[in-house]
Amino acid sequence: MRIPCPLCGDRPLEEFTYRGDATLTRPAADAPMEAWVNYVYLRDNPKGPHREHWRHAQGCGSWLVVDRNTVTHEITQAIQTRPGGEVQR
Amino acid sequence: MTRQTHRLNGTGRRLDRSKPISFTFDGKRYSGFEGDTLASALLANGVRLVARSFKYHRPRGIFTCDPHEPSALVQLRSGARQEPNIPATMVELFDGLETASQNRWPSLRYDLLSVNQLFSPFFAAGFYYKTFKWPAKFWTGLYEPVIRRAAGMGRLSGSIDPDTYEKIHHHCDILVIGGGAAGLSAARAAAQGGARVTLVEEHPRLGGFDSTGLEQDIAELEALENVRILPRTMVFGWYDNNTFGAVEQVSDHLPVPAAHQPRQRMWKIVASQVVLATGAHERSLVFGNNDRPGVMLASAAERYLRDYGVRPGSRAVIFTTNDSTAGLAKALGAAGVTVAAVADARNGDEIETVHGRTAVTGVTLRHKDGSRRKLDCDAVCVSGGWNPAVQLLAQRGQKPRWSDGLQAFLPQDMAGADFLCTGSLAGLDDRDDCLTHGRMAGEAAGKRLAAPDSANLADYHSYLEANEARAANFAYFETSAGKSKKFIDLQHDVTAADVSLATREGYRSVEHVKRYTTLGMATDQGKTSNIHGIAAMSKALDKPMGQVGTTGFRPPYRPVSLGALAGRSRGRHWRPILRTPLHGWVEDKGGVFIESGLWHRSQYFPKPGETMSQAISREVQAVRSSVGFCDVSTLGKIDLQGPDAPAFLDGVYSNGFAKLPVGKSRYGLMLREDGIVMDDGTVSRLAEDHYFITTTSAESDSVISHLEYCLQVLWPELDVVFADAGEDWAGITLAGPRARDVLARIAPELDVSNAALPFLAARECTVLDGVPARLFRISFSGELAYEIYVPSPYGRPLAEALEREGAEFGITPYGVEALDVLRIEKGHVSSELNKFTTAADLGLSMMMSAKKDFVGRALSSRPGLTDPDREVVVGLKPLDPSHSFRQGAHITARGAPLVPESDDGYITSAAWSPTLKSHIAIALVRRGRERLGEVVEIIDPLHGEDPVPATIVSHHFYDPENARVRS
Repeated sequence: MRIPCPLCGDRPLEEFTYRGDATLTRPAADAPMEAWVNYVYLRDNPKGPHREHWRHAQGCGSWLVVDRNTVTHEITQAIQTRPGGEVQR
Repeated sequence: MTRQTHRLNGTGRRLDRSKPISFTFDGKRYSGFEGDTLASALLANGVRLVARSFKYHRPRGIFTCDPHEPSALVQLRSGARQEPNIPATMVELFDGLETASQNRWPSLRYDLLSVNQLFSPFFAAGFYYKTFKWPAKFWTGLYEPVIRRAAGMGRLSGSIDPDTYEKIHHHCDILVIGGGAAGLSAARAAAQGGARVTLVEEHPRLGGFDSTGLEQDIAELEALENVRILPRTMVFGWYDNNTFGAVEQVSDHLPVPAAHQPRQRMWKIVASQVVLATGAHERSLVFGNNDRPGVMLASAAERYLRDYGVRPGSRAVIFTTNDSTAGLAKALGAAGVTVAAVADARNGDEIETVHGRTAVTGVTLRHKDGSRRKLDCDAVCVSGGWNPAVQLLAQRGQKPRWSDGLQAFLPQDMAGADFLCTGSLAGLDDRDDCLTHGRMAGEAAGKRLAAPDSANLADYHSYLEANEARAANFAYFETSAGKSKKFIDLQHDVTAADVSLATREGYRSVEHVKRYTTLGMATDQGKTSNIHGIAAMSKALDKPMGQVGTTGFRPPYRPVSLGALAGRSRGRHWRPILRTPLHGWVEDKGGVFIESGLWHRSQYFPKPGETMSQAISREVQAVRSSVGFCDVSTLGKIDLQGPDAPAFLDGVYSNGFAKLPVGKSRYGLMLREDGIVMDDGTVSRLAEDHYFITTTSAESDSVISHLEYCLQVLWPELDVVFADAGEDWAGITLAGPRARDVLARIAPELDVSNAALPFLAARECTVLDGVPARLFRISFSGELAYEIYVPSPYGRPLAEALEREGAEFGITPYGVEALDVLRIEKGHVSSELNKFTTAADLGLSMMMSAKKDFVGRALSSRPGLTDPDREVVVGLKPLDPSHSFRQGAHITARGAPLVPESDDGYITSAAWSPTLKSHIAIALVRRGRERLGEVVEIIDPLHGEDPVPATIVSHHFYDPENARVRS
């Protein structure tokens, strides 16, 4: 598998580390415990499109939001999480 | 030396007859020529019996002319270079090659284990499952060793491989897999369009089954600058995004690798477009004793005649279902081999059974009218049609499609967005068709580089469709009668009866039958046998071939040696050593190293005649009474800057940092979002928006990754940047009551007084006449102490200066053992941060700020982490100070029964304290803080220790008032 890092270009899987679902938002400080448990523990395991966090650990160190199909491993988008990170290749 | 009885004059285009070669097989010397394979040379010498089969130890010969040979597996070379299970058909002969047969005892000809055949009813489908179910303990003790010996294939040398293996990354525009007619044509067309083309071919030479007449094309292709040709290279896997794994056999055809050359090279190839021209494998037919030495694929016989000048025998019978054998009869005749009969299944003729034991002596033919005829012969050439090599496509998840016209499984999709198929893989069997369609594929691949949708594939597809529409191949797989064993899978000894039995026992799925019978699960992955297994199922279940379907295929396409997968990652390259800037100095001082992660850290510095424990105690006492210093360069170091740094630090640490003044250090605790402690360290504010952070040695990488996540994902709006400065700085801790005196001498310009440089002061200063340094008055030992950081190259000069300037005070270098004893005496947590503990467990509740949000805050208050029954940090002192205990020992209440429910916790750190003159420990004990003063039992049954009574005490054994660090 290859991931198009917006800073480094197409790079092989071995350079990246996986984290998981990128659609979760960290709850507000006063959010109920249920929201925190959901944020930290509960995950869907979708078959098909998945938006997820990867870090280019052996490259530029960027955390990326990657749209990947869990069946075909097709990657349709990889962007930086930082402001201005919408720039994609 | 024997004579080459089966060698022909005149033919043998691969041979250089001016270069004779001598080799041995099972200790006997034979001769061949340069250009021979081991298989062709053995055949030339009249050697028919070359192996014993896997299960029944039946005699086997050479069946194919290709690397997917199921029968003729041999052992190569001797000594440390011995290599088992190599098909004789892919071994290029060299002078002096030593080879041996496998899986026989005591000899190939008299194999005692061939009695297994008499017990063949027991070895039927699923025999492992049926026979060895019970009792379970017999498995490891009896069944498995016996089965392994009986079914053992070759043997490893047991010595370290003296050769090297390497890996290479390669990028190209178009990868062409397969250098037969279609692949050659595709590569040339693609290259003429300007693309960077790589052509991979598993054989040593290009040209496929018959390269006659292709010499010019090959020469022209080789001359193109934008074409890279990799012969002897096998693509074993097709991974996502057109990433391919391939192994190049760089030196396997040489006696020893040339200087500085690897034995094999692993290629990782990334291509924009790929043209698959992987060809087809001829399949056999299923008839009685179809495994006898002398039974050979028709195309293999033809190639041995033409390319190697070897005749398969003197009287041959051809058994065929198709026209591809037409040339063989002529070639045999021209070589002086009598063709005793051609049994063409299309005319209703078939071979019922083969006669002979260690070699074919004859066959019984069965004619359409049911009449039988016995014929003498010494060779049987068989062709059951051709199987396109769809394995790589199947690796990508494609289910092959059965074609009734071609009587073969074809690629489901002949073209995808990034691949095209051509040649006999795509069902073409005529060479001109392969050349024409290969060119179409190569041109289309080239056009797709410029624009993915630009290539018009209409002609490409219609060419293949017309070919398939024309085809009317004959559906025939298995002889209709006969009582002898009829093999489907030669390598795993799976017979037609086994498959039939499996279906009678209720197995319906091809995947289940495969696993139950082990059909196609050998190292050849059933390349010559799978279709017959499917045909047998089709017959037994009365289901069309296409509905039975094929099994999936996974990498590797062919076996890959572990050496190629490991590459250079062996020995010390498997686990690189991290050395601190003080490494050489420690060596010179006679320090002992200990591995800690990848680091080699100084463990202790023994003086002549000292034991390890004596040295550690001396080092500890030196720090307590005067002064010592220790290499702490392994700590993680992060340089953090930016106006929002206080907010960022407040978010990632559980304690507050907003009010940390410039010039101060602070201990910091970092949690995971689930409330468990992740790491601890120090944060020092060097300037208004400039901080220096240390982390533990073990977690330095994961903390960086975590901080990057917090900054880039959670709070990207914060104006903060940081960098891993771990390798930039050497760090030394200077500790002990006389530390200030030594510091004054190495930093003479600095006011080191307690008033000017109090506990937790942080300074940028210079040491050693102008070396920039970062100085923090931080203590891990419980004494007056400083951490001094200098640029890495100055680590050693700093150590030497400390030694020189501290000599007057008896300064003592100490290692991580003394460091650990000092921190246990002081009660600092370290190994207690074990990914199970909370701040409260560690006695650090005061580090949990109530005034802000931080990572881990919310979930640290969940019930499971605030349970009063949790194990918390306490100290332990044995009633008898000389009683020792170990890390990992468990704690029970006195008199409690020795059952798991009595477990009250465990020891996390243990040491002999030279300061307290007692063994001491830090432990995690259930409700420990409520139990101070209680006497408990320390139990360590795993080490066979008697229970040790000990008192629960505060883990702050030494200077609990914290006076010394401030002195």
